[in-house]
Amino acid sequence: MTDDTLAPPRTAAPASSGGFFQNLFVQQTLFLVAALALWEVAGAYAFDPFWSSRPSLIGERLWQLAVKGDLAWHTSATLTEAGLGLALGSVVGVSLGLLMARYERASKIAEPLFMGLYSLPRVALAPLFILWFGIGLPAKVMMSFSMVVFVFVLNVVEGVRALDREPIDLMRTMGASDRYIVRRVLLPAVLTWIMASFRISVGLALIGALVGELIGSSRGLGWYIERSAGQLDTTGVFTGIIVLIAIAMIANQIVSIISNRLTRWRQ
Amino acid sequence: MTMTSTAPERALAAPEAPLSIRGLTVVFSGDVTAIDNLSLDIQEGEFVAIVGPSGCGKSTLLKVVSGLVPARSGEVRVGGPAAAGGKPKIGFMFQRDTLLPWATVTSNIAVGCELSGLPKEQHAERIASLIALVRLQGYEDRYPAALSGGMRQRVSLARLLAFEPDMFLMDEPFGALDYQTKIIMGRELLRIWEASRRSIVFVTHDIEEAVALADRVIVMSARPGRIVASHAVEFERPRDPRSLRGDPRFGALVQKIWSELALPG
Repeated sequence: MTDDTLAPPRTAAPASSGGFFQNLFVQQTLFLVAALALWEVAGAYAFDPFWSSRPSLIGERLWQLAVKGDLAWHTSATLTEAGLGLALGSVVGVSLGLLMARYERASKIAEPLFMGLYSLPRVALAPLFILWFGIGLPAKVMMSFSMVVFVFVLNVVEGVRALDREPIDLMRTMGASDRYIVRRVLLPAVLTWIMASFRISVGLALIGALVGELIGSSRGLGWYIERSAGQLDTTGVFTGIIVLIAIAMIANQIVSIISNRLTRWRQ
Repeated sequence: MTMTSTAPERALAAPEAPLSIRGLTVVFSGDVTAIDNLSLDIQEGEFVAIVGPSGCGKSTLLKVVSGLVPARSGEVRVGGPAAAGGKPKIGFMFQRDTLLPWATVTSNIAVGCELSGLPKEQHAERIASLIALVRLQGYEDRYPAALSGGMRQRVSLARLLAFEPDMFLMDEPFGALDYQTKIIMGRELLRIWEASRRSIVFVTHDIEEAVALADRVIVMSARPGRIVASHAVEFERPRDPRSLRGDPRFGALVQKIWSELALPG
């Protein structure tokens, strides 16, 4: 028998394990430590730490901020702003994208205005949002929202456009209803594009929150960086930046994990 | 056992034929006549293959029957005793597998169950028996990307069978497979069809495949598509398509159809 299904399902080959120093994660960690050590030494002997600070000073500052509760206070503010902006942007963006894909003529009519807004550097809206919403939470959420909403709209429209017609034709011949096709084909197909939007939007949502904070606020990491710079406190500036890098990396990692789980079929 | 070549248009068949096409003309935008005044009857449980040069409208014919493409004029009646009382269920199979990439083998076959109107509590049982029928045990939770082309077409076939169609329309279902897999799939299709005996209209450009599988081979002309000849293929059932190929009558019929295709040059 030459039947191509008779072989049992194969299991994944075990990952090859090299030596300790061959491990990518070990190499990445060593590289990071080396970079920090170079920074530390340069800050101590080559430059005035007034300009570039030093990892040890930043670590000390981080510890102080954590103990006093300032770290949680500022970080939670920035996270709330970016998180709400992202949530609002994804809900509005996906809905708008589906509507635009559904009503092609209407979306063609609205396209120039839409593309104009999309092309506008959103930072220019910050003063307007401060004027409208004050220096509290809503202005930053709107700033974040304005950064991410277009990503979702454009991706969803593209996702619907790239839809494979043949499975839909096939289901139509089998008498499938619109609702069935939406549930079985449209939403799962668009989900991949939505997950891609989330990957792009995490960083943009943080940018929106930060820009809002830099322009007018009383708390948040952006506010902390801005105030530190105003006091010529480079260690404070770098501390804020390091926390932002950590947040962005963790958030990206979370989105990656969720996205990989939802699109397992891609392997 | 004889093989006969009959006139291009068959006489009016019994009215309860599951598929009856009368004077069908299909014109695409730009006034391209894809099918010109075509009449055809498919009998209950008959396996009909349609061969013809590319662009002769054989795929279009299936699309008209399934309702995906409108006819300019003529009549297409799908019915027969199998569908008495209800809307006949048409099972279409494309050359591409058209599986949902995000759904597992089980979930893809479930589409057929869901659209067939089978009560939900019976889905698992039907899916399990179909997976056994198309020999995909052990692959239930795989995604299409992890399957070979032949295995994906088996899943398509299982999905189609799960729908329990009254009639099968197959548009070069094994055309994208390598030669060996194609032969195996043909044999599998016959094995399954011989057990259920639903009508099949099987479009292909592979004359040998048509003769090996079908009860009747219909030859279409280049565009605009017309029926040039219709051949009864009277090898006994059940058949083994592989051993048929050594039969001199097999070769003779293939040669005859080749000559009827009237290829240019």
